[in-house]
Amino acid sequence: MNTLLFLLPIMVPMTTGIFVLLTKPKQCNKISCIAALATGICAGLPLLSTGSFQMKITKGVSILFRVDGLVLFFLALICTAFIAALVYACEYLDGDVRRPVFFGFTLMTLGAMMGLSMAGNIITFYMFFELMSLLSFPLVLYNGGKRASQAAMVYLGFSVFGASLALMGMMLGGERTMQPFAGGNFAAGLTLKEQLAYLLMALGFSCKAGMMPLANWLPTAHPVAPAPASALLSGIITKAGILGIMRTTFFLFGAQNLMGTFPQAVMLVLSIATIFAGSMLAYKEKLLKKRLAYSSVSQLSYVIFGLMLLSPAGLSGAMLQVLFHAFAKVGLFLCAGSFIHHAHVNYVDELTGMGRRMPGVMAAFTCFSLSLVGIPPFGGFVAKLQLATAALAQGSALAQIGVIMLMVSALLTAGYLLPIVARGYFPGEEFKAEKKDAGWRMLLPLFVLAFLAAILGMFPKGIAAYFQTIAAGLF
Amino acid sequence: MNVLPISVVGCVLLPMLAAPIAYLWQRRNEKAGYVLTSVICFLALAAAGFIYAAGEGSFAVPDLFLLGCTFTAGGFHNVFGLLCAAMFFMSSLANPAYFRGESRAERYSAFLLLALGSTMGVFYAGDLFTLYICFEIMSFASWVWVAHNENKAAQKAADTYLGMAMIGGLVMLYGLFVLYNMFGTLSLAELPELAAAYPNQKKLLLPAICMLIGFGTKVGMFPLHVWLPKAYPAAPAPASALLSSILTKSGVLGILLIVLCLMWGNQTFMMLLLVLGCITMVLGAVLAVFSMDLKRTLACSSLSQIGFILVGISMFTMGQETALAAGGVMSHAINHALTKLVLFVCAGVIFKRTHTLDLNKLKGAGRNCLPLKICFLISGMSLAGVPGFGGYISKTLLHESIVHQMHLQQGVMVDILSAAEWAFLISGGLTAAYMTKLFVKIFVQKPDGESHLVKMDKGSLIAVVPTAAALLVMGLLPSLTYEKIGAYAAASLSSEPFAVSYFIWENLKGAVISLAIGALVYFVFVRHLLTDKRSNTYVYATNLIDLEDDVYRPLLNLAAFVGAFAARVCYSVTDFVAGGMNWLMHLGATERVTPGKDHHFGHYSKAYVKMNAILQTLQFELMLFGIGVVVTLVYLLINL
Repeated sequence: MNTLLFLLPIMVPMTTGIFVLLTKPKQCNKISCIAALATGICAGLPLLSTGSFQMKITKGVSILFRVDGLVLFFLALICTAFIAALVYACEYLDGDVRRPVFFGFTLMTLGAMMGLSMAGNIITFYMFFELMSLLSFPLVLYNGGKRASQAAMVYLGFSVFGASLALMGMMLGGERTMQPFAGGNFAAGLTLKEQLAYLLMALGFSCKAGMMPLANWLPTAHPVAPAPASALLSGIITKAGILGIMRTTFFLFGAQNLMGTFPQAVMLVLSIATIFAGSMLAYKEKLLKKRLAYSSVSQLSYVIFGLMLLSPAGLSGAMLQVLFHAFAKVGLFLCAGSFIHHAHVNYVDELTGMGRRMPGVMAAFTCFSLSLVGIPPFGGFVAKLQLATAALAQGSALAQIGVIMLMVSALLTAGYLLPIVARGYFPGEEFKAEKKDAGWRMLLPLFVLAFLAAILGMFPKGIAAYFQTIAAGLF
Repeated sequence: MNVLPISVVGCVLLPMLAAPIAYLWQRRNEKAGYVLTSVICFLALAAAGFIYAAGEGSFAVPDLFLLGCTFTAGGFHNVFGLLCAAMFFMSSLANPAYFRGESRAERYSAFLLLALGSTMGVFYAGDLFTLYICFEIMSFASWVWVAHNENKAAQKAADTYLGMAMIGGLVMLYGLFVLYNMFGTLSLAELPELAAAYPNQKKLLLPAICMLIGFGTKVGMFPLHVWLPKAYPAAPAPASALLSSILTKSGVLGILLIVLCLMWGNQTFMMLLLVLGCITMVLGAVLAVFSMDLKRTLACSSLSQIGFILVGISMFTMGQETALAAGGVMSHAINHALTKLVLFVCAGVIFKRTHTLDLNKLKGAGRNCLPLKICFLISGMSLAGVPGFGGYISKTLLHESIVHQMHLQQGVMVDILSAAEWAFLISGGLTAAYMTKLFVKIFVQKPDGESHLVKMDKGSLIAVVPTAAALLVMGLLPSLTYEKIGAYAAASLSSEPFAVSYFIWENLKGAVISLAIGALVYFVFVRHLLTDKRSNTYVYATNLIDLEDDVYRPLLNLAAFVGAFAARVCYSVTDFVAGGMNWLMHLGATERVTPGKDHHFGHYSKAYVKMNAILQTLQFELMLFGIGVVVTLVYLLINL
């Protein structure tokens, strides 16, 4: 029974994905959306299971699926975002005969991500991680042409390099990394070799999560991919890297063991630098999707910063940031896609008067922007609140600098998002343009995400308490 | 029964919820929208009245925004809350006439209500966290007001306003984080004791100054005032009235709270407030004397009046015998709110008719409109502190508080305070001078050639006349009005009672000196040096330095350039390394497909094609990959 419960969430999207690749464009929209919904329902199945699913491959290496609080959160988040993006894509790719390719590979990526979330040991995690990287590769390539194929190569290159770093770390870590993921009780103390192994793994996974020095693929890959794909890449697929870091840090090596070691310092410094650099580059960038990509670079490093504080408060702050960044960034990329699709606008300067031309999309864009900057009542505020208080409570010099960087970055975020809103709604007296809003398939996912960001931002206690329970089990 | 929760919901939540309804309603039926807006404002006013009558109390909304929000009522909270709701209601009455014939008035109505709810939230906040949230929402709602006109000036002013509000808000937030980390609470009820007991008082200065920057931005404290003289003229008149009369007061409340919670009796903070307050006071007045634009003059005047209040707060920070200062701050805040409401609404009436704010073009514009003239005169006199008007009372209290503190202090402090007193008197004189300048130009001098006859509409009349009348009553019967309110509010600020006889020579002297200075400045400076004799127009005196354009913007741009340069360098390291690797890998390679260069690599055909063509593409390999996974999964399913 356990087998079915764990394998179904992976199988459903994977098989439909392959099937969709072979269907006619006409039918693929509905099939994909239904498949994504079905996956969403199947994602609830592991809840029913008791224990885990295991299959030995060779001695000491096995495929292991199991369920814990983190798994449930990630399954829910991934399914929500994928359903939103797929419904959106129905309108975005309307009339494109090649769209089965997009839908098929998106579904297959979804399957890979389901497996990756449920993975119970690092081997399983790594396998599905690579699977996800490869299956999302055609999404970057989708638009074709020289730029897309080069960007896809960059994406692939960075993915492979990052994953290989992680693999190297896994080898180096030896016995410790091969354990099933378990919170709490760790063998105390880390040898230098193990610390190095940890650093390699964390750096490897941070490549997917867009932390410097391995962040360059994001601003290259996102602008060329179709909008729903960039939304998923930026909002969700990057979170796989975050999950990797979480699993490594809290489930393999142990937060107590890492506290005060040099890998922690290295990761903190890198994440703080990335928080600043990402925001700064986004501030200077004129291409909308590239600006959003740089923004992801910065925002994801908030998460890494929170994780690397190695405190329960930091972890739950980081989880809140994962949640609200996913909503905001998926939403922002989808909005950018609507601007591109309906108004043929790519650059920030051309967005003047968008509030008049596409009021619905612009309203959603405003909500997501405010959430990303961290303006109440939207969720980003709560996440940043939790991160900053956790950092100040930790009290180390790096954490203090980190808080100041969070503030500077929030200011820069306001600087690169709010002028778009301002010009969008206040284009000037002489501005005249026809109103032509996006259709319901675009607006529905946007509004749902914006609503979620607002309502969870106002009443975050339930979800924050959930994260705190997870965090409490790991220390 | 506790009326507080219902009342707070009535004045905070109701307007926020009603905002979208008002927007949609007004789009359909313009008149109904205005009525709805005013009704909601009135309901908020009624709720504030209930709270005022109910006195003290507090209640909490647990878990909202994670930390939970609390609201508190009592003392100065109630006075400010009531004042706020009254100002919003009064100003909403002037809306229909001002926005007649304008598109998108519904946007203004909606954001008026949003700002009303959040401003009430600021005034009734029971902890700094709630206050911050409401403060941010208020900043955003009022940003829409500033940008509303959508012309070049409004765009620039709105950008500056938003930028400064963001910077101020974030600095304040940082201060709150530090504070929260120190004490584990931000409750207004608990902070004063905790802060007084805190061993290292110097550490309190960091959060206090961070918060001062945040609130100081909103009140227009020097050197954070640059947005203010640009934003007020750019906003529609009813909005400038509110920005000036009540939104600045939210900052005043904030600074009062910093003092009460953290800085009670702190000399450093007192000096900081005193110096910045004096600079703001004098600077605003001087700018107002030079200004050529009706609303800009009023805006600069707001700066100056806020300076007076800041000086009052600094006297309050002294920590002993503060009753006079507390009463002065409260009554001057009320007085300034009422005067500025009248003056800006009057300015709106004039602008609506003449479509200009240039003083030279407004010559004699209001000559024929008696109600306008009288209201303008009353509030002008009140602002200038002429005995018999509201402003005289509040300024006397502030002046007395400085004099009183001077008697208590020794050494250098006496000289400093006496300098502050002179700055106070001179600014008062300048106030009289620029108000006379405005009044004479608009209401006394004869217009050249054709004149626009300004008429007052009913809405504005209802808004302005009671307010002006209140100023008059307050000035004549201070013991029944200001002192009651002042005592009500001051009771929560300091426990000592105070009694001042306003109409004795000792106290009239200050006003007389001030007015004498004013007369001197007006007749010698404004009438001679600033006026071109032949055409009888004011000449433009150029600003020597525009702090925003000449200092802040270049500095920020420089910082952004340096930051971006550093970021770019850090960021490119990987690209360089990757490029180097690539070069190394292909060193000496022959002509063949290089994956990074050849765009046909890994690419599939442009058109959708059937199965057989897929076979040649990378997509197919990846599909096989997926099939492999599925087969494995099926195998697992069957075998286990």
